[in-house]
Amino acid sequence: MRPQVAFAAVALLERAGCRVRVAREQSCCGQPALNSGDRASTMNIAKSVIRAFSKDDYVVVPSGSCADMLINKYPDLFCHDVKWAGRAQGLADKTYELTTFLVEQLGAELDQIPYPGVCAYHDSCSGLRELGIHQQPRKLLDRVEGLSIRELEDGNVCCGFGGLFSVKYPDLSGRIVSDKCAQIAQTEADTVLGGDLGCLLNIAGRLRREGRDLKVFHVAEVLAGMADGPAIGEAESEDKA
Amino acid sequence: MSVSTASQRVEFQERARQALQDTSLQRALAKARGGFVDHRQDAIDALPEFDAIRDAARDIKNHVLANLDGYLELYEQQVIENGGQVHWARDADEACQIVAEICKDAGAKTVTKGKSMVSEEMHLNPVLEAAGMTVVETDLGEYIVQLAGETPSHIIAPAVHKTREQITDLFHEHHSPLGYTDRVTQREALVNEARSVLRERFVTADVGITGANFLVAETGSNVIVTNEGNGDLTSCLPRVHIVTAGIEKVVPSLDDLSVLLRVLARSATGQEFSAYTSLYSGSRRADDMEGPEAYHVVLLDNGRSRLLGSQYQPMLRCIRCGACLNHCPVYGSIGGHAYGWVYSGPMGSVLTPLLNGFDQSLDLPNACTLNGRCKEVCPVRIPLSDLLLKHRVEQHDRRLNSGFGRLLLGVWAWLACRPRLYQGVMALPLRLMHLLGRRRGVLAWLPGVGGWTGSRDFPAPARCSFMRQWEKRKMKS
Amino acid sequence: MNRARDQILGTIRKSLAAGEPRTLKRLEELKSRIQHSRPQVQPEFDDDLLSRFCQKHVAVHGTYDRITVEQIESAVVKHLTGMGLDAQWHLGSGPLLDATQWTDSVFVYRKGADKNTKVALSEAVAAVAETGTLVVCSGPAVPPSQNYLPDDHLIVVDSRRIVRHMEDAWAMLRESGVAKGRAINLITGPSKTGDIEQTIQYGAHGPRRLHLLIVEDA
Repeated sequence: MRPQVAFAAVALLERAGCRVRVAREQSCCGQPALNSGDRASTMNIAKSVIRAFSKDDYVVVPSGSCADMLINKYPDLFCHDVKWAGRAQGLADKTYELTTFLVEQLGAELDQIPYPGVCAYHDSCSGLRELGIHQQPRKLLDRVEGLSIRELEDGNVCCGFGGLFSVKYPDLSGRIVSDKCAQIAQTEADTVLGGDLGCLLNIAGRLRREGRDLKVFHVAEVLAGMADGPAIGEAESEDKA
Repeated sequence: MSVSTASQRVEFQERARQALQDTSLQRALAKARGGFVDHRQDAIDALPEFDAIRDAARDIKNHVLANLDGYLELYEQQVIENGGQVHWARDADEACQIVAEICKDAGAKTVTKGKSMVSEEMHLNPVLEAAGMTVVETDLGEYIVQLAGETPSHIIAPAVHKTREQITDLFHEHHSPLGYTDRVTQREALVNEARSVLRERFVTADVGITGANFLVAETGSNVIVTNEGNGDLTSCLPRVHIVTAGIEKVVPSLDDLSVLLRVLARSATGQEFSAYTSLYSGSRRADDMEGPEAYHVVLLDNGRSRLLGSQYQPMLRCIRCGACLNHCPVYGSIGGHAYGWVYSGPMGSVLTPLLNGFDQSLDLPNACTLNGRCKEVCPVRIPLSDLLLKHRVEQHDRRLNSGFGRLLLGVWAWLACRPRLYQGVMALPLRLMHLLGRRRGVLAWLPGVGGWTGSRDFPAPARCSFMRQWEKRKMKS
Repeated sequence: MNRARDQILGTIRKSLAAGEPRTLKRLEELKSRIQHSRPQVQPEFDDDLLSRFCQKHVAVHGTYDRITVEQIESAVVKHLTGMGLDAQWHLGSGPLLDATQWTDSVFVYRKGADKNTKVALSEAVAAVAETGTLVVCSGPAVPPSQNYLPDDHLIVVDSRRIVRHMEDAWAMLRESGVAKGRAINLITGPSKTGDIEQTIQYGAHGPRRLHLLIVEDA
């Protein structure tokens, strides 16, 4: 959907001194299958993910909900499977969400690449509640010159994405995201940042429909100094390099 | 009663749509939500021991559930010692029959009711009315809802969906025949009018029916927690006091009760303690100045015993505080009636399929983003969102969900296990969406992804996936 | 009925089974847990009991006077006169009230309240500083209707009966044998409702006002 996020994540990791490998054999963490109640399919997908990353020291994920899958949900899925329980736990133990990895594992001191903007930060529910991600992105953004963060009233309330929920119950989802956008508008921010692309697509889509011109980026893009291109839901400029 | 699955889906979606478009409901919900959430937070901020007390509350409930038969027997023994009677009802019909019998034997004409979710679950009022009795709900919110011919839409605030204007109209319509001819619109005057009208009912009732927030085995008491005092007037004044309660309401001792009381009011309304918390044990004693001559407890199973020992056992810890409702963005958008039954919000979405059958409420576990706030605020730490996911697994395993959806998901999952193929297959629709959306940056209309684009644009994907671009870069270098 | 009871208990046992038969010994263990019940985690506070109690009571819209034991009648009369009410009330019972010699200028009714009762005067068996709660128990001379029907409820509280936590009150009730009485009524402030537009209104069904007479030298 948005390769800029992955490129930004790679850049951040490389600048922090890591050797980054992008596994070719990856498709999806399997969350849509899990949340549809299909444990068998999820386990099949999980196995292919576990295999794909079996040789790496660390697995870094620029998404709270996907990281939650690998860290919390996979071990739970395989807890009764003698053969795979250990392997699932092994993957879980070395998997980190991106901002958590940068702050807690690497103690990374990022270059102070400026982004002059007033940013409303959206915490994804799985990131916040399942992985405790709240301070980490804010700590990193603190070092971005010119950037100030506005906290959302009801910041811990869902944006209404919920994966397939957004297409199965679009009216409900639409109402919840419009409440979220109203609170974003209240902060008078010009940018929305977050760590989960699903939430960001949802919020950007609603903001665009409302005719608001806030820029929506994944936090990695701003941290890597790659927020000069089109934001999420923004048209590419006619004259592209 | 079995409703076809297709019509059920229509029902929920339809009710939800109506709720979303009901502006006065939306106003009422927004107001309520802010109040409950903020007050609860204030109460918790003022109590450093809150989490420790929650853990203790959970542990007490778990201990009781693991020994439920024993505690029910001890509770029953104590009630009988106090001069009361205990009746056991396997299902709602049986419970209604028992209550109706007691009322008929007492020659009841007027029956007052304190708030009891279980009596709603039993669908009791119509049964008593069919037997010729006048049934009067006395909790103000329940009374309003009764006048409107509706069901409660929230555990704690049954009339949360009603505005003052609507209540004014209801009172004017129903109280004028009783001599209250002025049309009152101010809140204080409305409450005073209800107080006056219901006073008459309290003192003339033959039978009073209340619920029980808890049943205490140590003393054989039912506990009611109110702010209005209606539950107490219902319990104290009539000749016969009937308590309707689910079997899971037992707690061992008064000290255990205290733990639960501490989390209940705070989680429900943000109060430290409600205005009136009462324990009633048995009928009047021989030398008491007043009190009911007869005290009956009707214990309702209605599917609860089956949940014990299952992965859903934690749901039986529920103390009906309503916190999960107040913090749920879905409930906050559509209110309680859209859920189609007595229990709504996250706890309703978990409980309704369990008590009514999985095939009876397919939408409820799915109309949820799994954001987990319900789990976070539950005073007895029920993993509500996890249980909703388990419902989805049940639906999937029993093939209760739509064939086309399953097929699509199955194909998608098959592809996802073959990453290179997946990447290849996904490239085409993504490229198409990019072409269609690249001028504006979004697509205003997207077929096939439900109604996403009904209320939102869809950001256009990049021309080329990250994997493709990464490959190209690697090949260049 | 017995069949229903057997079936329900049977299903419970089966669901919980672990094959273990529920023996009499089990029941004894549960009984013992009840009998040896102790308070669990409680909110900690250092405050002086009387001041905490009064603070909590006021926070829930209650009022109070601190008086001596001889002042009971005059304090009640003064309070009622201040509201333009006559010196008559329904009267409950307790050590302080029973010892009070009412003069002829007041009318007391030692019976249950009715829908026209304006005032009732009760005595608390205990008062809980943790929450600002009064405990009133039913008995031969204490009709619970006096707690709920009147517009104005006055309660006499012996300051020595103010305890720290709820569980301390339970201990008192167990000791004096009223823990298993017909009614234990815990009262915290006057009656209220938020059912109309989520805004608090006092005097829903129970008393509109709750006034305490805290006796400090009994």
